[in-house]
Amino acid sequence: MIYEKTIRVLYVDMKEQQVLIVEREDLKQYMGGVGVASKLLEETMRPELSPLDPAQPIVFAIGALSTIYPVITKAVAMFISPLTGELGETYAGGRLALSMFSSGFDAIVIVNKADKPTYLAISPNDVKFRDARPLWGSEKDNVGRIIRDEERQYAGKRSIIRIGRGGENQVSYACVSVDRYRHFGRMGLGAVFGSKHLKAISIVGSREIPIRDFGSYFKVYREIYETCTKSDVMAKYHDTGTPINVAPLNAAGALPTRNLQQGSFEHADKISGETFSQEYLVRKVACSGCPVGCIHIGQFRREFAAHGHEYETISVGYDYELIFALGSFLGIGDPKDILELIEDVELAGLDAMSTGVALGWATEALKTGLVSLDDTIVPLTFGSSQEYRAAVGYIANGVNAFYKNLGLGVKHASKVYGGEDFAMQVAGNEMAGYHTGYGSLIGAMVGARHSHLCNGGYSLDQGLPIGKDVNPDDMAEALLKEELERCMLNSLTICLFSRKVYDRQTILAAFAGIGQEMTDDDLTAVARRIYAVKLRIKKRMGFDLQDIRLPKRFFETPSMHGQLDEAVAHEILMKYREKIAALDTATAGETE
Amino acid sequence: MTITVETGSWAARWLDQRVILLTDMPADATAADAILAAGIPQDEAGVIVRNGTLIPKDHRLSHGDVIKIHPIIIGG
Repeated sequence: MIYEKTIRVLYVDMKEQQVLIVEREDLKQYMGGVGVASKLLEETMRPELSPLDPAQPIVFAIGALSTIYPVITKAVAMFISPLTGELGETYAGGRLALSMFSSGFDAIVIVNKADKPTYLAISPNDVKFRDARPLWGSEKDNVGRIIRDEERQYAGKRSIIRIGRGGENQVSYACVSVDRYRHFGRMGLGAVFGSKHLKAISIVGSREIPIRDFGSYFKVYREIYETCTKSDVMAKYHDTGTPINVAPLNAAGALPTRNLQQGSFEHADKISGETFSQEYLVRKVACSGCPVGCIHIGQFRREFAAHGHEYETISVGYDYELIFALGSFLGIGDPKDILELIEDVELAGLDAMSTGVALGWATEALKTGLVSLDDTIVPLTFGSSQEYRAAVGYIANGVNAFYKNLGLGVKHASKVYGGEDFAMQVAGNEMAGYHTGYGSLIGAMVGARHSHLCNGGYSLDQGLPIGKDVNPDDMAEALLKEELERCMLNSLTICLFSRKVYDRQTILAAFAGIGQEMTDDDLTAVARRIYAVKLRIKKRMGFDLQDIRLPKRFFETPSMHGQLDEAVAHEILMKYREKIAALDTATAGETE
Repeated sequence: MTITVETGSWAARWLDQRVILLTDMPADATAADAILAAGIPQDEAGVIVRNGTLIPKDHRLSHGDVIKIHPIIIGG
């Protein structure tokens, strides 16, 4: 992408086993990343078909500054989400962005279904459709090992992404595992892979692009690197990482516990970031191109035979969202139990957040008699991890009607069995681990992909004074401003942990360092252009903010800012709706 | 007045101790003043609790108060 006037797109037809490479000058106005991916999704999506129809596309893209500067490590995947039925968007680090860059493809669009399970082996001059029948049914570690042995070219610049049983069985929140420890976690990309008989993709490359004015470039690179490694801005992500959130969220009454029956957990100290670091942390690793190293790896020992003292050592990555979803949300207060559940979810190929939230609802549904033990098979009980471990497998394999329904998301399951008031989802996406206030809740509603990452609503809540009323217009404005800014940031595919490193001034300097003059107005225009595309996609899929019905529990369990009022939430929502309508009108001419 | 500030391992980047006794705080000191006096960057201090209750940074403290400072909530 750097120094090029075009975006190089690889189109792949799984059924016909055909590929097409197109140089797209017109896509440059979307910069890269989510901008390019959104536009490609808009062009290729089929709104009249179901999300898992083989004709629906999967789009991958890297960003305008991918691999050039520190912490610009992400690749974006866009698709029609089987979980929400509309815009699907998810990010992953690992080596994927580097491998795509090295392969020479800025974006990849995949459509249709292969006749048999297949994995794609993509290299700069070739795309192979390899028989994946022997891999179908295998979990991600086995698949990774086998493909590594098969695709030996360019080791170190190779990325392998793959699905587990959850994806094969089209669980609506199945994930795609990226290399060893990263994921396209949310919104069911794994199920879309499964719907195409696509088990895995291996991407390799050897492309290197010399920097033209190395002096100018390296000056900017050095400054960014120093900020990342020597200031306080990124240190917390390396030190304890996001698990540091357990303690403050618990103290604030914002740690979703037992299906959000509570906002604090009596065992929070036992599952805090500090405890994980002291008792289970064995190493920290980084995505390619990141000098920070925020991926925290925990280790535990497990007996694998009944006799003879036979033990294995298991390493799994952990972060705050996993600790919340598979810990406090399920009433589990033992870190080893959480790590074991994380491993099970990993191997099943599911999104940990959605899985935990779905199991939280199922536990309450069983307790209140909406479902029976015949449905759940095991007596799901808050705090009882072994039953949850079994249930993870039941979801991934869809062992009965109940688990098949649970695998379609908690919104769907609660429509079938009841309990919608405590099915903790927003627009179909299971909640994130922040019951912080209106910013978090409305942020998830209005966010393009209904994620806490769309607009960082939890962060806005944190900045609000405790005990004071929220101004609906200010909140709506702040959410929209951040949503727009993140459209721009995600077109660069920076890791959002580094968003305070990459302020506007730094981004402009980064472009200037590679000889690309951009202005602040250019960045604003790109943000609006991308958001307009996303809104059009959502509209074509029939999405309307007014249709969202929130579970009552969000308004019953006090948040960090006390009990939330549905009327205030509605007012913020309507203010937001007015603002995007105005934005839509203002940008219509420049984006169509 | 005297204020006790409690932190956690997250503050080790700036502090040698987890509990800091501030003995000469002005009578109108706020939580933000205590954070500053303890040596914690304001941007790094998030949730503040006094006697089990959340307080804002501009909350006026009283002699003998014990406040627990948690880090800011982080993420993407």
